[in-house]
Formats: sequence, C-alpha cells, structure tokens
Amino acid sequence: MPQITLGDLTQSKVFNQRNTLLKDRIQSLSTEVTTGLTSKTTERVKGDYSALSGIEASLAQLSSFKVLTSETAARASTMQLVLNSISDNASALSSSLLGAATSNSATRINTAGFDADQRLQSALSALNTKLGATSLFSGQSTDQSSVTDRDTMMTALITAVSGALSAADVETAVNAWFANPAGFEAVVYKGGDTQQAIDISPDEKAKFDVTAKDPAIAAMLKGLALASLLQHGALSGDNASRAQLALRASIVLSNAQAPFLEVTARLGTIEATIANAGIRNDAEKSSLEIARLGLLAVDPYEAATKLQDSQTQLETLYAVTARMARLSLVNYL
Amino acid sequence: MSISSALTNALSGLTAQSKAAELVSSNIANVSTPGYSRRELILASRTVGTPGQGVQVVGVQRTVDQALLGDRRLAQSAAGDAELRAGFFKRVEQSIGTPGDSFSISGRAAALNSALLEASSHPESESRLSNVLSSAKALARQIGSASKDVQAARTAANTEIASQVNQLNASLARVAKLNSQISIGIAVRQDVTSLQDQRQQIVDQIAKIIPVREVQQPEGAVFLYTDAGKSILDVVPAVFGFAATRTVTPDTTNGAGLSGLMLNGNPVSTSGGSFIAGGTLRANFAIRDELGVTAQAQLDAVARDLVERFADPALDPTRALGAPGLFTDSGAAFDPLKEVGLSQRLTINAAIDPDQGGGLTRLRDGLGATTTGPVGNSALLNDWRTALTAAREPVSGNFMTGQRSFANLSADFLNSVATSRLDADGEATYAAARLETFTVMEAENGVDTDAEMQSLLQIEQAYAANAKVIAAVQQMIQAVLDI
Repeated sequence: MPQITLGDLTQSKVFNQRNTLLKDRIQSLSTEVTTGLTSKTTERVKGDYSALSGIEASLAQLSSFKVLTSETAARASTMQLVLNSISDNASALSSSLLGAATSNSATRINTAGFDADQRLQSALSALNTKLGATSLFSGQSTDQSSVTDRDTMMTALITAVSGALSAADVETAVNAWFANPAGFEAVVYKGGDTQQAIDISPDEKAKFDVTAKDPAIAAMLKGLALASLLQHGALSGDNASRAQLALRASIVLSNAQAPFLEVTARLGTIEATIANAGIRNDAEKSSLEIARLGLLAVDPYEAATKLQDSQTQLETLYAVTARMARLSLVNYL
Repeated sequence: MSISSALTNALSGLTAQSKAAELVSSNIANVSTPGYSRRELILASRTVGTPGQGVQVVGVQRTVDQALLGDRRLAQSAAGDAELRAGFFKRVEQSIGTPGDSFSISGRAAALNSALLEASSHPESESRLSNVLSSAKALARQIGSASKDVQAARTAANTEIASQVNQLNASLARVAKLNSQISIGIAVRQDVTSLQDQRQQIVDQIAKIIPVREVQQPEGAVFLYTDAGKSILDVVPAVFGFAATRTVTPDTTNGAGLSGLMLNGNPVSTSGGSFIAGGTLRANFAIRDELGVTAQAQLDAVARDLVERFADPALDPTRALGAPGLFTDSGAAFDPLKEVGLSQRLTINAAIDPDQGGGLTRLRDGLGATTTGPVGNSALLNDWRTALTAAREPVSGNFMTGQRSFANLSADFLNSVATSRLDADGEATYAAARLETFTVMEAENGVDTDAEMQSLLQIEQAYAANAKVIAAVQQMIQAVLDI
C-alpha cells in the first residue's frame, strides 16, 4: 500500500530557506534605511558605472577647484591691496611734490625728497609681499622676493644719473636706466617669467600675469625713484633744478596712474572670474550630488515599510517553526 | 496439521513484525541523516504448497525517486558552476572598486587628477608635489593589487582543480568497488541498502564536480555518464589526470606552464563545449583559463594606457627619447611585446621619488631635468594632467573602439566586470533556486516520524495479535493434552 508521507526534513529545509532569505533581505534593507542609499549599487546601475564614475570624478575635481578658487581669490585680493597701497602712496607723493616744486622752498623740496624715499621703500616692500610662502609679484620664481631693496636700487640709479646737470638730464638718464634691460630689470626685478594660468573650473583659468616688472608698476617706481633722488643728493646746491626735478617726478607719477589703474582693473577682472567660477563650481557640485542621489538613493518610506514587512514575516516564521516543532505524533503516544 | 500451521503462521507474523519494527527504528534513527533513503518492508503471503502458510519478508526497499535524484544532481552541478563564476566576478569587482570608493582604480585616478590640479596652483609647495607622487603611487599599486587578486583567484582555481581531480578519481574507484559489493550482495540475497545509500552519497559528491547521470544496471551496479554522454564509469572507472602547479602568474596559461585535464592518459578539452561543462571542475578551468585571463588582459590594457599617456614624446622635452615616462614597467620603458602582466610591474619613475634617489622637483622641471627651474613653473604639471584626462584610444584589451579619458577607460573596465557579475549572479540565483526546489522535493520522500510512529502502532498491534494467536494455540494444544 503506497503511503503518503512528508519527510521531516522538508519542513526544516523550507524554514531554513525562508529564514536565510528574510535575514538577507533585512540586512540589506536595514543598510538602506540607515544610509538612504541602495545597498546593491551594481544591481541599481545595471552594471553600467559610466554615469556614476563620471559624477564621482567630477565631484573629486570640483573639491580641488574649491581649494584653487579660494587660494586664487585670496591671492588676487592681496595683490589688489598691494597695488592700491602703491597707488595711494604715489598720488599722495605726487601732490606734495607739486606743492614743494611750486613753493620753490628748499626745505619743502628736501622734505618731499625724504617723503619720496620713504614711500619708495614702502612700495618696494609692498611688492615683496608674500602670501604664505608665495611671493606675489615674482612670476614663476615664487620663492624669490620680487624686487631688491631701496638702497641697492638707489645706489645703481645714482651711478646712472651721475654727471647729469639739469633736471631734464636726470629724467633722461633715469628713463634710459629703466628702459635698459641691464638697468631696472637686471638690478631691481628678482622674479621670473609670468606664471602659467591656473585652472579654476573645468573650463576657466586664472592667469596672474602681473609681476613687479610690469610696465605700469615700473613707471610708478620710476616716479618714486625720480623724487627719491632728491633725498640722495641729485643736483645738490641747485635749488631751481631740484624744484624742476620735483615737478617732473610729480608729472611722471600722475601720468603713471592711468596705466596702473588698468593693471588694477585687470586684476579685478581676474577676481570676478574667480568668484564666478567658484559660484558655478558650487552649483555644479550640488547638481552632481543630486544626480548621484538620483542614481543611488532609495525611497526611505518604501525601504522602512519593506523592513517592517520582513520583520513581521520573520517573526511569523519563528512562531510557525516553534508550533510545527511541537506538532508530532510522538507527543501524543 | 492445521494447529501447527497456525503456530507457524503466527511465528512468521512475529518475525515479519520484528523486522518491520527494526526498519522503523532504523528510519527514525536516521531522520536527519543526509542522503539516507527511507526503508520500506515488502511483505507477501507465503505460498508453500498451499496458500496461507504465513507471511514472508520479500525484501527491503529504499524509497528513491531516480528521476528526481538525477535532476537534483544536475541542479547541484549547475549551482556549483554558477556560484564559482559569480564569486570570481564579485572578487574582481571588489578589487577594482566601485566609483565613490576612494580605494578604487577610478577613485585613485581622480585623486591623482586632483593632486595635479592642486599642485599646478602651488608648484613650489613640497606637500602638493609629494601628494602627486603618493597619488600616482597609489594608483599604480591599486592596479597591481587588482591584478594580484585576479591571479590569486586563478591560483585558487588551479589548486581546487588538483584536489577535485584527486577526489574524482578516489570517488570513481569507490563507486566501482561498491558496485561489485552490491552485485554480490544482491546475488546472495543480503540487505545492500546501506551500501546503496553510501554509493548514492559518493555519486552526489561526483555530481558536484562533474554533472553526472546514473544508469542502473540489472545486477545492481550503476554506470555513470556525464551530462554530455561521456562514460566515466562502467565496469572500470575512468582515471582523470592533472599535474598540480603551485602558483599561477599572468603569463602562465593552459598548456604554457599550467596543466590541462587528462582522461585515461589522453588530453581532453576543458573549454565550454567539453564533456565536463556544467560543474565546478569546468568552472574552475573557466576561471583559470578564460575569465581570469580576460580580466588580467583588461587590467594590463588599462595599465598600458596609463603608461603610454605619460610617455608621449611630445610631453616633457627633458626626457630622453625612449626613456620611461611617469609610469614605468619596473623602472624601464614600456615594451609592447611585454604587455602581459604589466599591471603587476607598474611602478613610478624613480626620477621623481625621493626614496629612490629622485627629486620631487622633476615633476615640474621634467623627468630628465638636471637643474632646478623656476619653482612657480606649472607648465609640466598642467601637461601631466592633460595627459591623464585627454581622450585616447586604448590600444589593447578588446575595449570598444572610441577615444576616452583614463577615468572613462577604468569605468569601462569596471562596467565589463560588473555586467558579467550581474549575469553570473542571475545564473547563480536561478541555479540555487532550482537546487533548493529539488532538495525540498527530495526531502519530502525522506523519513516522516509521524508516519513511522503510525506504522509502529500497527506493528505493535499486529505483534500483540500474533502473540495472542500463539497463546490461543497453546491453550488449544493444552486442551487436547488434558483429555
């Protein structure tokens, strides 16, 4: 007589399978509920990581651009401050030189000469400003000071103007010294060529092409140096020529203001580019992060509901297992 | 002589019920023994001369569903095969790493890009340059370690093949021996059920390695054929041969440093169409000779792309013609004839590594620079970065044609592994579900304690009744004797 039986192991195998399945599901759902991201990335992107990889690479790059934009912004604004201080110095000196020249007073001219010497000193040290370890106006040679000290400059200049008898001669000699590559550029400028542009966003660059040998800055230094010669004994004894020199220095200084302003404006444009790039980078970062979430996020409500379901199922399974285990004919014999 | 017949009948009943009780106890004892088939007693009424001469035990039957057993074994082979393949791809996927993991190949490449970018803003900064160096090193190391993982998987497969071949030979020999014991046992009417159980378990072991079909022979032996119909056991067992090797390197393949499979002394194919296809043995051969080799070739192609990007003659004029670029093949320039295993030999040019007597400044001055240039020169650093991100056609590795950046190439590599992993996972899930179904169906035919207890009740009753008959016969005989 064929017997209909159901092997004892059937139940335990089925319960085991269900148990493993439920525990596995609870495991991955609890990860999803706590992180908000899918626990099975490969399955979610269907094995195609191209988009995700592009997003991750861009995000990594954007975090570097964030460093670069804040660094270049700080650099641009510090350079701007330096240029402003030089420009302020020059215009203040220009008017005091003009006053001294028209008054023809030896004392006032001497005072103006002393003032010019001081202001030259401060302009030179302003050009040597460092941001961290980086010299700002030295081009590629960021480890070097961009200009020499005042005394070296004036000593070279005094030699260049020695023998000049009129204010016009002095100015011509000074002009020649500044134009001669062996003069200003060799003696005063200590930096290197202009620096390469720095990437500040995926498609924008900031190029800091302002160095201490920039013609606009050199012109400003020329005016300061011309006036400073008064302090270093140029045309001594000839008060009228000294007054002439003061006047010429004042004119050079005020003529230098316009091109100097252009340099400042150029820096201002760089600053604006950097600021805009920073904003665009931030915007791109948030949109990429949103896109990444779109690829990987799970609906927390759905995940939580499923987790609750699985938990209930597992508890039911325990209850059923316990009950079935008690159901045996042996217990009734 | 009917009284003595009655006594004989009752006695035969007692014997049969004792035997039945024995079987019930054996079934219950083995309720959770894997591979145990439930025993049933076959009874028939004894006919010696005239009918009604008591009961006789015809034999003991194992309840085995041969068709189901065969299906379960095939499912078991398929599940083992799919699981091994899925495991391999999972391992490779993990060692490549997914984007977002900072240790992944694409994560390391992104870190190198960032390091170069940050260095271009402050080329004079030692920390930024050394960051470039360490990210480049980390990238080379990551590619190398992924390759080592692939080779470790191949080595494990190779070792596993050796032990499986041994196990296979031993199992086939034992089945052959059990075959003859069972045939003899049946001939002399012994109970051979435990031998049959044992044989079934050994064939189960074989079925994990090679998909196998069992053909019952009339005298009690079984012949084994692979699923593809090749005989591996008839009267004499087949002998498999395999020469074990200790390590597997990228340049060793089947026939070149690694052993193939021999059957009775003749080499046999182990590729997809082979007679062993569908079991774990074939899966191990596939990992060793196909999947692992492909993964290694792709990794080498990725490494080659990286080396060649930084060895462009237009890049870095200070470097001598033919000299190695930023990434080198163990310090030397890359040789297209030696692409195999490049990923494991990938190193950073010693010229930029202070630990190897180089100088970080060469990152901005050029690999062949003898003097230090301006510290703020970022031209070369920008060029390095362009080299890493420029679109370029990968030369090898069977990638789809088209130019791509290094980041995209590493993503494509990951895609190919991840897609294979998903396919293999799908296969594995399906095979596992099939196996579970068959296993459960098999378990349904197993020992049911309730049914056993029920028959025990019947046995008890029948035994008591037979004993009662003897007592009655005794009274009857006593009654005659008392006259």
